[in-house]
Amino acid sequence: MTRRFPAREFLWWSLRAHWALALGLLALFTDAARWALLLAAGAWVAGVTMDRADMPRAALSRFGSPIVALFLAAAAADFLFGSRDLLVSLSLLVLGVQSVKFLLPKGSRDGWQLCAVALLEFLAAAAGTDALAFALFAFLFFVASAGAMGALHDQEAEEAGRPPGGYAVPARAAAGVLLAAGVGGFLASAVLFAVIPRLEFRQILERFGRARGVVGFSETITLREVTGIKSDPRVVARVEFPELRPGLLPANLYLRGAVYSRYEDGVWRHGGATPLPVQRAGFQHFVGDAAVPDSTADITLEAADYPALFTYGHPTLIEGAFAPVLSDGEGNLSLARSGHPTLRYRVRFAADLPRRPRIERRTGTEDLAFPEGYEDVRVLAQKIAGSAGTDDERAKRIVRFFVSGFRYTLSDPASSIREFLFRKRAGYCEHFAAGLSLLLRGAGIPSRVAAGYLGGEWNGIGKYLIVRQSDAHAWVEAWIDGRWVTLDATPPSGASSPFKKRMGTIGLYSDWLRQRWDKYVVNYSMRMQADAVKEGVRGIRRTGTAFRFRGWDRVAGNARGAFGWSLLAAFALYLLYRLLRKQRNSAGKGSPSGLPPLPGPYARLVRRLDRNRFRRHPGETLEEALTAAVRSCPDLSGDVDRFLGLYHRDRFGPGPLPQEAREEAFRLANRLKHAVSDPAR
Amino acid sequence: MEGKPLTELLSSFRANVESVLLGKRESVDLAIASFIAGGHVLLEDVPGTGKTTLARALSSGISGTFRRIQFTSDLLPQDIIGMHILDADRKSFVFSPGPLFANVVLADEINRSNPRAQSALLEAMSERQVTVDNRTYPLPEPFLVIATQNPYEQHGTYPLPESQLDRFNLRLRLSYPDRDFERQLIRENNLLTMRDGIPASLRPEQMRALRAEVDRVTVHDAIVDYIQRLAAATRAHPAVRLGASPRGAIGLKSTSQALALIEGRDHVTPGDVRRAAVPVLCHRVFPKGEAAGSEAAQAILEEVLSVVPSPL
Repeated sequence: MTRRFPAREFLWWSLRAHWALALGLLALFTDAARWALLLAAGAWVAGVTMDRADMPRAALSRFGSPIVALFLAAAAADFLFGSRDLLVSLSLLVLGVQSVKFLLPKGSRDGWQLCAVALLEFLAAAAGTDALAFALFAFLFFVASAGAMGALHDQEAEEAGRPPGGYAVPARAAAGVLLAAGVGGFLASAVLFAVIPRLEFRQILERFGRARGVVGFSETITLREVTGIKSDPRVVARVEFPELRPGLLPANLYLRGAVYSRYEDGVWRHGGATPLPVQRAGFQHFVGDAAVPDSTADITLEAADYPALFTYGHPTLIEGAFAPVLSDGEGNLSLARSGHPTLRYRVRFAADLPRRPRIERRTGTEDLAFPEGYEDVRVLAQKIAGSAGTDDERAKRIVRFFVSGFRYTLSDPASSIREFLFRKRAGYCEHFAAGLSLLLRGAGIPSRVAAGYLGGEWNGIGKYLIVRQSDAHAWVEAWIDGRWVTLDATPPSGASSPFKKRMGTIGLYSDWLRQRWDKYVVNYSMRMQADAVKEGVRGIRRTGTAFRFRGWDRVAGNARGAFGWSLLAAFALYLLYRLLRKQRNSAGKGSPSGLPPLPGPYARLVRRLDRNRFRRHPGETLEEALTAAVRSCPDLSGDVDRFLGLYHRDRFGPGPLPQEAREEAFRLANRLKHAVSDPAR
Repeated sequence: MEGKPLTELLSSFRANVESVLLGKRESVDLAIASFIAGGHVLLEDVPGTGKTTLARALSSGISGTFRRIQFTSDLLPQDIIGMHILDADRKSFVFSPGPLFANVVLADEINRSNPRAQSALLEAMSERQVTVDNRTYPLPEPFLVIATQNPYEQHGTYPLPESQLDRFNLRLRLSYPDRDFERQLIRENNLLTMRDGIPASLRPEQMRALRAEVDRVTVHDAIVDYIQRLAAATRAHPAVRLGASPRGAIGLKSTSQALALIEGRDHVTPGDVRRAAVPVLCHRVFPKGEAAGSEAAQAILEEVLSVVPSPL
């Protein structure tokens, strides 16, 4: 089943598609200068149009070098005085060169240079992103690359005076090559992404402080318009819980990003303490020692412009490939710089702390002070809480105050705390949190506002929690009985909110795919490899016992174990196959020994004969195959005889062949190779 | 004739034999190769295809002694190797040599005689000596046996046993000549024509020199390896009861060397081995349930030749 690919035209179009694709990659996944991109795209369109119209462009070719020099100067100027961004300047230069190549006459040399530029663009795009979409683009890119190189090879043949035209490529082999290119592209980018974060290569290339990813988490909390956030379905984090204290539901957990202790003029701010790096060992950060952890969460944060590290409950340990982690001692954990790519880390935390004998807070008390000018609130607080009972009971009374008469609204909230507490009694979580915190402080209970996300959507396919921007929430933490206790006065109306978005099954599957990609490719680390091996071994051991005692039901339930088993089985099958092959081979076959490896020209001739089906089985000698190949052209028989004589003397003769005779043999081999592969024959 | 180099003598010998046996160039080359390598030749085919003609041509090309034994069912061993007879004058037994004591012996229709007579040839062919009544007599050098047989006539014949077959280096099949040569044959001959009257071009000592020359032809390690793999492959083939013997492999090497010498080369190529492989090995390969040298054996050998990778 051999189909010729005469389609030189088709191949040239795939070459152009390849170039366009590289441009698209650059535009979509990097910060290359947009106007330079537009220029290159314009040059591409112009080049294609001129090709279609068969316009002569030989006269233009002498402008090539000056234009390239111009772009070099422009790139240098941009780097020194303009954007001062190496990536932008470099892309300017690269795209300038590309534009010239698109416009001016194209030989195969230009084509190869364009291919090299396209590869550069591909690598730049790879360095700037880690999205699944890019890996799929990589698939297309590599497929187009294969076509492009075919076209260039053809062009080269034409320029060398050899007859152009298609090659006899078996259609199946061509399909195989395309598939291999595609899979190779996907795997290559996966490996690239798996390796790059560990090298922190991306961080080097990225500009600092740039707004990217999720926006909306800020240094302060005010009663501003939040409809945008509450209707934003973008995913903020995906959380797995390898270990969760019994009785806890992931959907009821508060994912805390920041706490705000200081209240000034209607604005909640962070406390005054300076963030300091926490103690660490390798990538383990010891963020608190007040609690014994009873749960573990693997959090994958989407790229964000905010440096906060989100945690649950009372964290003690954070494991992640980043350093340092800053803590202000109040519960705010953050990275050293704002803005991060997709980030994966593990948090060990305690959901609750035990009640402890009253311990006075020594630091930050000024941040928790009752603000001046809110005496009416203090009066209200003392009226609600009363003076009898413990802090716990009084706090409960204040929370209960919000149950009746208050309503949750996003469309028509109160504009200030006072309006919320005394008149309108309608607002959203930030109103409730601010009001509750002020009332608690008025009653003498230290409290602060915490912000983050509440719950999320449980993905049953991948067994993880999807946290969206619309799950954003604010609540209160109060210092009761020597520990911070989470209090939430917001009525549970979130579930029925029109902004709550839920996915269908397909959505869940695609999100699951995305989660796996982030987990196993983008943020893959040595530690995870070690974990995977450990899990695999444990899984095999578990399924081993299940196989012996419990039957197959547990095997089916344990996907990892099944995976381990199938890997093992595949390996065993492969070994068996090799063994059988070897046994069959050893039946009188063996490998030829006693000869040095075939020199290049002979080997190429043999390969060519093999490919053109002149040598049908391994038993045939070069002599037989060559004789069969040139049977139809008697003018070559002299060459063949001469070559065979030299070749036999060289390979099987009593002594080494003199150098000039050997060279002649090589020359003849090359000539015969071309004669054999001549498609005219 | 004395001053002529050996290669020239060889090519004139070859030309002479070919002029007798029209259109059988390959068979003639192989027979001559076996001849100068010192291997006995078994010619096999239906009557009238030139078996005896080739045998006579080969033998008459050498100026040594030539004997012919017509094998019949009542032939006895002493008719071949000779016997001790009483010398009345000296009152002792003297050895009267049989027809085996010659440089070239033509054993015609060898499968017509009984196994006793056939096995009289055994010692002579491999050890080049005969033993009669505890006394051993060496045979002249060179000593060559050319046997013919007709495999298709089964009535009243005794097929050669394995051990006997193995002592023949080469088994050749002379098939019918192709159309043009057959026309020429018909045109030029009548029933009385004898086409074996070729002039003797080789003397026994030249024959010995040629044999030494054959030994000097280079056999590369890769070729030795190839021969060994071929022989091993015939033994490992699932359809084979008894594969090629080491003697067969040695014969293959020597015949290849002789073929290379005939072609004027001083080294053996894989092509030489492949040319010689079927005639040398075919009668030593015994397929299950079939006789050696049958069509099945030939098919097995061709399969082996196509499967075992040749050195490149």
